[in-house]
Amino acid sequence: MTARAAEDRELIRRYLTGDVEAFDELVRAHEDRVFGVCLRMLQDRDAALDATQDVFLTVFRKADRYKEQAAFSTWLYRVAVNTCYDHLRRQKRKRTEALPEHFDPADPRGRDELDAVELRPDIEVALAALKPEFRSAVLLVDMEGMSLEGAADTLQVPVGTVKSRVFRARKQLADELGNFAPGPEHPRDEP
Amino acid sequence: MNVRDQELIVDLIDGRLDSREEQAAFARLERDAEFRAAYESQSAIAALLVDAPAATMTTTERSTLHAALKRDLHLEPAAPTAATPPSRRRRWLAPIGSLAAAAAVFAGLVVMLPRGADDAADVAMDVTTTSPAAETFESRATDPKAGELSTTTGVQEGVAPAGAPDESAAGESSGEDVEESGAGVAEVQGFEIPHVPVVDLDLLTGSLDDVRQSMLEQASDAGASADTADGRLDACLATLGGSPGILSVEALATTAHDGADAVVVAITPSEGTPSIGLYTLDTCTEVGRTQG
Repeated sequence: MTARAAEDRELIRRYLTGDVEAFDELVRAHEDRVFGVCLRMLQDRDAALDATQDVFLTVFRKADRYKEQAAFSTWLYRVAVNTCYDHLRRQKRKRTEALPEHFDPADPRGRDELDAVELRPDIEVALAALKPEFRSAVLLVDMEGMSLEGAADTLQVPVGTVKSRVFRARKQLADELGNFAPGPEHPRDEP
Repeated sequence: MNVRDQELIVDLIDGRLDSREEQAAFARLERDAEFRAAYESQSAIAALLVDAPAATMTTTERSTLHAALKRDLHLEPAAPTAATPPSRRRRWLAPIGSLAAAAAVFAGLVVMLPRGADDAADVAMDVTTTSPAAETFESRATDPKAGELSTTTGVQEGVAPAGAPDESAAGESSGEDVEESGAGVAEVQGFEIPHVPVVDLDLLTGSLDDVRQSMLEQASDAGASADTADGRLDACLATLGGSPGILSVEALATTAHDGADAVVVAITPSEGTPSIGLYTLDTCTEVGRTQG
């Protein structure tokens, strides 16, 4: 068990006894990664913030059901991914609804602060084109640095399925972003 | 390229192969152009994503998240009520609070009438027993004025929550009014009203606690938190609670029915079995009911 995992378990125990500081520590320890997963999955900061809130609400409301056999972070990211799936399903349903009359897409936050975490637009578009289950797999493995086993635990699928999804996601991204295969000048192609 | 080749490439990039397997894979790369092309393409995409900036929240987003979580999990430390906007729960408690206050005032008036101590005590007891909301308010009492009222009358439970409408106005209600509405005052539980996208009454089985938990879980799973607990809900609950033969009503969830806002209500009659009803918020019309 990693030090982080052990600390998380202790914080959960403390939270369940009513320790509000433990709650604060748990949120601070994981909020950026949860938000990151939600942002990359939903590709909208407001939606990602809503989803992050939903994730922590779900986790803390069901904290007493947390089984300590699994790492807290695995459970947390599982909830995060499932919450994002739910948001995506709802977005899909709402897509045909009209925007509010006074819809203002301008974001009042500092542009610099946001630019620092934005992906290249072409990557955003390519990621958005992936099926949610492919996106979540490649996101956890390549962007969040999760092991294949960790991603499999989080997504509750076999490791082989994660490998397949990651492979297919990367292939689709390569197709969307242009040919990432080596050109003829690549040393490996030289005789 | 078969599935085994795909998995081999993913394993190779992820560094999961032992040295012997890795050597074999590199040998394959040298002799198999298709395998090599796929590996190069996959490696390039993986590197591109690994190098992507980590997404972090802005300071404002972080503060918003922390505040929302503490509010929704009721972890917020006590704050001066004047500076705090009324929550959904408080807003729909308000009219019920005024009824409880009115009941307390009425009881006080009756006590002071020269009709004999026994009669006064009977009426005061009636007010207490027919106002289940009063009990709920006791633990949330923040208004010292209301506390004074209850001490005067001896109906200690008759305490209004913070933010209740003008109590003096409520106190002007006639005794008859209080008795009529007091008999069916909505019983209020101390939790936020969850919002669930769809409710199938046929699936709401088990005890009231089971149904309540189910609503909370559905709302939690859906991540929904629509704020439909507005004046229509207050009015509908007051109407239902004021109906003859109704002991208490409790809003379990807000939802939608045929595109209109609706509320799921647990209805406990004075006699008989509790039931769960679905009512439109606009007209408080029953659109379905099942036994709770």
